[in-house]
Amino acid sequence: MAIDQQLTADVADFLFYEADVLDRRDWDDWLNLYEDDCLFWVPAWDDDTVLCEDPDNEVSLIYLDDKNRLKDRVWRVNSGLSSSLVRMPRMAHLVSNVRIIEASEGRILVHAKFQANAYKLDEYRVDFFFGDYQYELLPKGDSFSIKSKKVIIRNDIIPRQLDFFSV
Amino acid sequence: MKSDDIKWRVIDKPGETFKVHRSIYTDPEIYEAELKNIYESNWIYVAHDSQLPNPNDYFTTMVGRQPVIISRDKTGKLHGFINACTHRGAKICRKKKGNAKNWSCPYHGWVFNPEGKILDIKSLDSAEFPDNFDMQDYNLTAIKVDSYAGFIFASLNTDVQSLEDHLAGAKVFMDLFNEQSTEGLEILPGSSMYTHHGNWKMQAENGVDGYHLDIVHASYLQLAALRAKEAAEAAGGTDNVKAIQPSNPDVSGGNYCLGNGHVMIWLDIPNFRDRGLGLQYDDLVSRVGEGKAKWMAGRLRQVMIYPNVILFDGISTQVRHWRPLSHEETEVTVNCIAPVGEPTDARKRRLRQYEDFYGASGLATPDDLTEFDACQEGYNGITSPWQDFDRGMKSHIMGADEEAKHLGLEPESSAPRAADESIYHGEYRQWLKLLIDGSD
Repeated sequence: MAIDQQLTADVADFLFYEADVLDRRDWDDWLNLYEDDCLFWVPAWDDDTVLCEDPDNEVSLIYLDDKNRLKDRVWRVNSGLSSSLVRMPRMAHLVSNVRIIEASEGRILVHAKFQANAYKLDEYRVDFFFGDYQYELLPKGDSFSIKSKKVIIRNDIIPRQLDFFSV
Repeated sequence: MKSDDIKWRVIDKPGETFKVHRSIYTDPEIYEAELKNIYESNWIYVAHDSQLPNPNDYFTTMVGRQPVIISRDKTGKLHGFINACTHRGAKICRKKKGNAKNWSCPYHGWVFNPEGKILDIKSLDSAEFPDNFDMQDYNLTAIKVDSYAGFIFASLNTDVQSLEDHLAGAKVFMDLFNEQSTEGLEILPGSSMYTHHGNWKMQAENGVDGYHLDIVHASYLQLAALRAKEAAEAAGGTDNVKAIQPSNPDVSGGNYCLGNGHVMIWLDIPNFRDRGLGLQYDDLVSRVGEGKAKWMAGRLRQVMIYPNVILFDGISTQVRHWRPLSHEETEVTVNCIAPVGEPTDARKRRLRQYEDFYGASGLATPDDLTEFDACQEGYNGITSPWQDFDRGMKSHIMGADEEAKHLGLEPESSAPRAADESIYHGEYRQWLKLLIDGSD
């Protein structure tokens, strides 16, 4: 497949925008990027090399198959009722290696790599998760919306917390 | 440590007060004594049968500080060994799990079988060993392994009491858990591990702590209620999780001290028919009878088997076990466990409820872990050194209450509320006993 340079650039820019709204904690802008019947999925690993690919029979770290479940997570951050979310980490998401895997009129499959760095003020520590993003995007006006986002975390021993903003 | 350095740290005056000194969470000498006399002298939960189901399967893990292999030989019998070659000490099995008829040490090639027997020493003919060399002295170092209701435990202590004696009253609840399916339970694929700042004993306390529920998990409980309400109103709301909302632990449920440090809490679940097992409730009643079915599906049970595992059956079903990394750092491994042969809709419901609440990526566990960190920091304020576990002492009774009698359970003590902190008397009496027994 010939590489569509313009599409790749537009998609990369969209992914960078999502990273930026997460880092700025613009949760409403972040939610606006998702379709109502979206999927946000972080599968668990079963063994060193075996990723759990069947969410109805195997465990996921996060499996949100409806935008209302993404809203749940944002609600919890805004509620002030969760002690793990009172002092939010300062985050910087780095996104790279953006590749269009498949593009048609109706949808675009995209793979990318990420590293999400967290400076945790209350724990005096720095952590990061890294791995892969796999998106299904839909064209929306002159931009895109997210039908599904699968996050494969390569370093999956979790220091205290992993949430939507951590990856 | 000398026993005089240990025993003052627990004040146990029945009917009056029960206190622990916060140095038990911060003192590195206490931590060393715990590793030696609790983690490396007792039965430690290591795995579930379903994680090594076939002949020649093996599973590697840690008991205290020590690497171990749990294996199943060709006849199906379980064995356990220190995971170190008897030649130069290299770890033999390097993967988390696998299947092999024999294990060849990757360093110098000595070969062992899953019964720990040495099969081959490379270049033995030219070895020039002294005359008294006997190859059979180099079998792998065996440790004790046994299982109950599918749960496998190991001990580095060859004189340890039998596993059944050790489990004491916990066996009743392990059976209730296991009998949810006629085919037993299975660990579902997908393990998760997390670490936290905070002494391991906070893990043993928190999983049987009904008192923290509506404070630490206020965001979870409010969200679950909001979700259900919005879905019922159908104004754009959806609820595919149907989160379990147990009854109020301040006024209901109960707890039991089960002997040897094992303890449990229970609570009724008003919306139990939303649970994986609740979806099959009528079938369950016809198989095991109404009384048992109520305990299995209708009651949250969180059973702490001292010192390192909790069996959760309520919000969803989880096996949570941990190992201390230092006096202030802990590593936790969590697995979702489910009845074998469960219908598809029940399995899916169980998984969604599991992911919603449990694990460091769920909506509840990170809040617990944050509190452990806050306690560990607070314990450094040793100018304020004592804490009591007196809540519920007035209604705490020795022996069995009516519910226990119905179950055929003979607990050390019973209490009428899940939020009573008298549950910790069982844990800390065992803690003190083990450290004193092992003291100089």
